[in-house]
Amino acid sequence: MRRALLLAVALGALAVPASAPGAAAPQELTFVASDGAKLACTLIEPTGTPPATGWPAVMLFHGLGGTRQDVVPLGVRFATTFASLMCDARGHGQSEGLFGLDGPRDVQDTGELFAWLAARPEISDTQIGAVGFSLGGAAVWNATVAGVPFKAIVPVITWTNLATALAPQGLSKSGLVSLLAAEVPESRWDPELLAAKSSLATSTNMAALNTLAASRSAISKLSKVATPTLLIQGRRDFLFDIDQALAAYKVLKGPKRLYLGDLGHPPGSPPASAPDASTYADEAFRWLDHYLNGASNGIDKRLVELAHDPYDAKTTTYPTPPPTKTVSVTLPGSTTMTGASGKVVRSARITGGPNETFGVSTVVVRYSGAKSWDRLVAVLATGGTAITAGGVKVAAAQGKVTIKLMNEALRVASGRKLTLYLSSTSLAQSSANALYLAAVAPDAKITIGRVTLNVSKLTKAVSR
Amino acid sequence: MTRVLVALAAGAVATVTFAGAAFAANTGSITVWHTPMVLAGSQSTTVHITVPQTTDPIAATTIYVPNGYGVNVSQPAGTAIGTVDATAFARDNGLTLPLSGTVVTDDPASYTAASATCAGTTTSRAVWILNLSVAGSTLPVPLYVNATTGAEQSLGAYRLSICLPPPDVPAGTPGRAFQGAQLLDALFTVNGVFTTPTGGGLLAWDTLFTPYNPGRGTPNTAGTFEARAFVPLPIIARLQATYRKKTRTYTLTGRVSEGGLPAAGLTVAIARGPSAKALKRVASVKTGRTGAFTLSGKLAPGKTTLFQASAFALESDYTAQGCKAPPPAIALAPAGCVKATLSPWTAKSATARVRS
Repeated sequence: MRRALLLAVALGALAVPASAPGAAAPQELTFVASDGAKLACTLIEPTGTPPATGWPAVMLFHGLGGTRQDVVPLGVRFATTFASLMCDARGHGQSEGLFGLDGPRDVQDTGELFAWLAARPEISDTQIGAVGFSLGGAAVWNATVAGVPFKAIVPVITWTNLATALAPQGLSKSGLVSLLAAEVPESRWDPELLAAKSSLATSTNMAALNTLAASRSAISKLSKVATPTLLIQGRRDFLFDIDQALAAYKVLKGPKRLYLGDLGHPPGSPPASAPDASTYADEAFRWLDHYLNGASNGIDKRLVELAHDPYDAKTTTYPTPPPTKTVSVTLPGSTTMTGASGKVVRSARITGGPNETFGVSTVVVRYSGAKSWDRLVAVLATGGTAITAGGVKVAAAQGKVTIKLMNEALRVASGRKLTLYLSSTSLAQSSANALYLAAVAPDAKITIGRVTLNVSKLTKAVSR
Repeated sequence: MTRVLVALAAGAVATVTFAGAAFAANTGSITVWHTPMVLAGSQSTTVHITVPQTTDPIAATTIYVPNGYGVNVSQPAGTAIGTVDATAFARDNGLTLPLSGTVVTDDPASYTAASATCAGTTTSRAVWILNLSVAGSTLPVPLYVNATTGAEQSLGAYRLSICLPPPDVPAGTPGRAFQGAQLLDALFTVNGVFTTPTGGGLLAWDTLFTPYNPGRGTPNTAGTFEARAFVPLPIIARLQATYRKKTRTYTLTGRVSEGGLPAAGLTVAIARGPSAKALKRVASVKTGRTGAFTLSGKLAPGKTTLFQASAFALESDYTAQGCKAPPPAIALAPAGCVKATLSPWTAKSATARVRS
């Protein structure tokens, strides 16, 4: 479960040749950061004589709990054209220092590594790009908005707004947060981050959490970024949903492209084994080749690309974010639920179809008689498959709340029933759905009245 | 006994009953019910234990099965005999966690040391494993079943013993509860295990809770307190129907009793229809002091109509009377009786037929 849930970015499956023609033997290096912390790195360079301006290079960033070894296969693949530098993030693997969740110190590391790489005689001073997965993707974003002069970037399955990713509407995805937090031993955590750990999981002290998240989120500064950016995000990713990338795509000013594929954190496929792994890896390569080397390969067309699910080696492209429409369904009733296992289940069918969810669906819940009931979690499912989920804090004894569901793209066959689960925890939908793990106290109680489900979907489904 | 009368009585004696409990920091409760609530039978038994988070973490819980019950301890190891739902507070991450899973029998021979520590015998008659699972992780909690001996026999014929590790000792302490999990609530249902007695009345499931000394990981034996679950058996809903052709009027009369006593002040739902499979709720009526109810209405001639009465009672507090008698087992629970409950139940009458 742990590895499945985490950022299993051992990218060996990314159509990487078993041997690496054109790549010199990896060099193991130790980089000493300005604060004295030693960072363990690997540098892979093409064989042969470097061009007069030096090898174009790519900095590769691994995910949370991983090491640079996770991205070595991608570096090997890129070595036909690029030098690749990959380092264990601070607090990870063989690197010293403390884990800062892409905080200011991590950004400084990236800047220093960039300068160190650019200063190498065999490496170009300016033709340096970056690719990062999940935690590493945010490292790329945060370094870019901080002014690290990457020529092109490829952030993959990551966040641009940490607060809305981990605690949308102020309610923590406590199960995911707890599991992610366990990936790095507390002894390797930055004290500032460690102090906020409990708030991260329990959704308490949101002001402190928002402050911490803001300094690790690029979204507010992206409108000033002109760096050519290929965003790769998962169609189905309960940690970093489509909106984390779509919001960035909308405000970026420079060349940009958004690929939405079958990879992602659960329930998406791990990047290495995603059925479209070679497709998105090829696009990443071509993006860097175009913007670092000037290759004319057609990748520079601004568009949003949606891979089909199940993957059929085809994608549907849009000049702008895909058009959607919202279907509203009223789910009447009055049901009282009690304690951690309490749940309300209501179903509906959407006419027409097939349908493919896309965009932010919402659930409007009228409730009363809330006693010690401090949260409401909604999971929308079809059959046993969770489509999306969301949660909100409940403060009053009665009233109306609107739960925004994550932007997840899933095809729903014609006539299939949609089932909405309301509870204090996502476990109400399935014992395997630990996204919102925390529950209310045993004596908590609430009565759920009329519910309105607003489902956002593509105007025309593209998956078959 | 009636639920209305019980509530009135609770106010009258509250001062006396709560005099001891008011100073007790620790509390907990147990509720027990059967499906169905009949004598000499029942298919399943549900036990619901709650312990507030503010109570010191519980080290040991001993549930006494009243005399007269039959207990089947002959299931082979590995038999799934029920399900469990629980709630725990994980101190390590500050989360309240829902847990659920199966109840499965295991071989007592595999638990000799643990049984000796928890139940005072190396050879428990049966061991049930409460599998508390969340997000792919399972915490198996053994429950030891044994016949009572000595002074305990006054509380019941069998005892069910559960022991839990301390959650509030420093992280890293050997034997500490996983993630510092403190159990707040556990509801388990077992099937085909308990046979209800042949004699009715209010059957008391006594339970002793021994808390830990806070932060020390040692049981606070002097702080052991008692809670009681009263199970009224049997629950009976009777219904008779008559019809006067002259006035085309039917009259329903019935009575609801719990544990042989009238169930007063309850709402009885009346369903009617042309067949037992097509009954729809059409009216409701309250029971009187004797548990009786009456309802009349018009029926068109020439039809066969079936009626059925149904009633339910929620779990209710019974501390005022329930902790008073029988006298608290002070020798076993020095901190006294803190809570008593009455079972929730549902009951349906047989159908009554009217030919109009």
